[in-house]
Amino acid sequence: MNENMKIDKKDFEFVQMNEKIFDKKFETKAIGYFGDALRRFSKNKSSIVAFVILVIIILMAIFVPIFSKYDVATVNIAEGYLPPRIPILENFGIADGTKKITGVNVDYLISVKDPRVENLVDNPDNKDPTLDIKNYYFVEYIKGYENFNDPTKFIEELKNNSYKTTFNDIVTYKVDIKYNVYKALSRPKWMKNQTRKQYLEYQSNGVIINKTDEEGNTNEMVIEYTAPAENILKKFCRDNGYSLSTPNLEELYLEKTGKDIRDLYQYDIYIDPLLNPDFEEIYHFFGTDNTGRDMWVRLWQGTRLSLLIGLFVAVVSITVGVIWGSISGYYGGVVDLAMERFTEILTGIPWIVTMTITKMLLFGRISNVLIVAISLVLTSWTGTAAMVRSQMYRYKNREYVLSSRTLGANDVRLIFKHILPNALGTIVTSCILVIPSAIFFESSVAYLGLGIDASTVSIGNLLNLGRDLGIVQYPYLTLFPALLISILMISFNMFGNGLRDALNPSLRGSE
Amino acid sequence: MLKYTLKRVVLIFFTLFIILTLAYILMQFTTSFEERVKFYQMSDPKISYEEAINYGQKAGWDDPILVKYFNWIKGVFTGDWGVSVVYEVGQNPWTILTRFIPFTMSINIWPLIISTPLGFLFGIIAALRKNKPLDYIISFLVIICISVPSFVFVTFLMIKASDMGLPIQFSPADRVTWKDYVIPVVALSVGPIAGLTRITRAELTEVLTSEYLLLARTKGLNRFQATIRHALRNSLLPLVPSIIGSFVGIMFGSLVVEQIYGVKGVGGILLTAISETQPDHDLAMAALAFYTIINLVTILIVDLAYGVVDPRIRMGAR
Repeated sequence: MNENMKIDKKDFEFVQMNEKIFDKKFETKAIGYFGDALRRFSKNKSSIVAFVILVIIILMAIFVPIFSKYDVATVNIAEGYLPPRIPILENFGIADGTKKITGVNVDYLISVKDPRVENLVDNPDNKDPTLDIKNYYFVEYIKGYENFNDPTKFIEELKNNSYKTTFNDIVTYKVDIKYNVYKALSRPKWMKNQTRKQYLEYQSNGVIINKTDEEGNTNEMVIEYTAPAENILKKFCRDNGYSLSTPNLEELYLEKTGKDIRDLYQYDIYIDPLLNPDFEEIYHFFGTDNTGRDMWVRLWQGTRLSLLIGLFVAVVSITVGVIWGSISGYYGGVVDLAMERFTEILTGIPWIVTMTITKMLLFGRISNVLIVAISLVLTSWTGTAAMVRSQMYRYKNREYVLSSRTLGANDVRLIFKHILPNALGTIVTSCILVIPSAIFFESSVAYLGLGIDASTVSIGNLLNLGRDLGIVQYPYLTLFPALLISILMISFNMFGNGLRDALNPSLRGSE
Repeated sequence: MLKYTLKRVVLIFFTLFIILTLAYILMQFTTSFEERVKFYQMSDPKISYEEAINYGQKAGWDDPILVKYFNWIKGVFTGDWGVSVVYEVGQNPWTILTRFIPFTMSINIWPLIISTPLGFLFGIIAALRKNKPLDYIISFLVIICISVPSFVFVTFLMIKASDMGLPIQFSPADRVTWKDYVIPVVALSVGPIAGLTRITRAELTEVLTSEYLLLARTKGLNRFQATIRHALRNSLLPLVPSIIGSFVGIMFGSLVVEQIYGVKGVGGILLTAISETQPDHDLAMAALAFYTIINLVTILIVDLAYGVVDPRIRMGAR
């Protein structure tokens, strides 16, 4: 056997003689902290949806005010109080620019915010026959007749006369009218350079007066027909033997006949100068406010401001908070104690107190937007600071920090290079969640009429205006800002929650 | 425990003192003597300019700020909060406030009372039905109710107010009935209910997966018994501090809601007192003190409640 075991030295060779030995590289790709976070974040469907919505909102806030043909501040009284009208949706009866008015006297109801509108709409006992003349686009003035008993017949009559209809008698009926305000605005192209007033005068042969409110602002243009009412009064005086110059004749009339003279003005019904292709179209997606400013543009402009305030507050609180928390947590001891007492006092101050004092101190000196932002920033950073501090305590005595210190790293390097990256996830999340709370505070304060002045467009201001003009009469002025701020808050919160779960290393691999 | 509590109470007074000092001194910078005299004169057309100046000098408005401050702080210790010069001329601000505190406190405390059982209930249901449709529905509603601001709720409730037979605005102080409270209390309850539901669910799901609950099931209790006897007590008690803590949030919400619904409360007084055209400094200080005290006391109770509820947390431990 020994002979067979003869081994030749030549048969052997070194596997590696001049190579150095390294660890083999992993064939699989390592998943880093952020890669893992991204992977887990994308598994969370609701957060993804929230993120997409957020991106859309941010893009809209940036680009809508730039590209829209309407300006944020331009006042156009003629187009005031328009309801929403959106191109495609209008064909389905949603946002078709119609306004429904229920009441006795349409002109009167249009021109004045009449409490009777609410009573009529809300009163279920109101059994009066109502009309829904929604087939007609431009029914602004009604000249009715007393013998009018059959609403359906009345509508038939309207349908058969697609031109200016006149009735000689007087309507005392309560009618329900849905009319398209936009059609009232649209005019033939040849009249494009004419004002709405001129156009209406042309159409109606009436005299248009500017209706002013108590403060002298021109709000509405109303076509006034005084003559017919005078005729009625004259007849009434003749019949009852009064003099035309009797004081309070209108009230006398009301007493005698039980009818309000103001309801007895005559109205012409204008049926749409038809769906004439020559008419220029006006679209205000979210309607207009009292001075005819486009709500769609203003809403996105307001969103822009809200987002900017949120961003500002987040950036400042994260900067101050990280520096403050790092110093306090890293050095500990007396420094920590003193700094902690300071933040403790700050957190004890209710937000309304800082708001009050910053406002009283700085009012008129700097922009009101800044006042709100500063008052928010004054205390909001304490949350970030407390969190960074606890993270410092958690990591500062770890072995890897110790070894780095042994190698000669200074404090700044230890804090920012070695400890903070570990706390990054928590910091980012808290920063994201600061934004919605800042937006919420800004809108609340503006809604109170406290913070941001009326000339600045913000969501809170829009809500405030909508409330002042009347939530019941013009619900869309409140609805859209309220919806937008709610959606903004919901998506920020959902996005923040998803991010928190994704960035939390302890949840890694738990799914 | 007693020592810690005492220490905290002393600290509260210290914090309150510092905040009020800062607020007072900063507020003095906002208006000059002439302006204050003018504001005082504006509040009553019968007062002549000379009278107003005399009044101001007697009240010490032209003293140096530190002198004014020491006089004021001396007054505060004896319950004299200065003089309201705009809102109700010549009155002690604190007596004005005490008339309005009841309304503010009731629309703040009722949401707390209502939200606690409801929040627990929804939270328990969601936790027991975890990852089932009911849980998803509740969680979805929770995130909406947390996010939508209370002033949006109150606005839409006010639109529907007359349909529900509720007053459209808060009635004047002498004609207030329970109906006046419905809208503000409901609007302020929605957020806390949702918040409590969320933390109850989180806490309870954690306990439900714990080992001692498995042991309870193993020894023969059914799911219901195990949940009621073992899980609930352990999971709900730690929530007590956060319930109290939500009071601060409600307090801020109530400031806005009060203003919108026309509730005559402390918030409204504060807002009138800090108007830039006619500020009422002493009244504003009293209102600020009210909010600060509420805030500090709530923080204290929350901290102490943690120790009472969970014996593992040792108070004042280093």
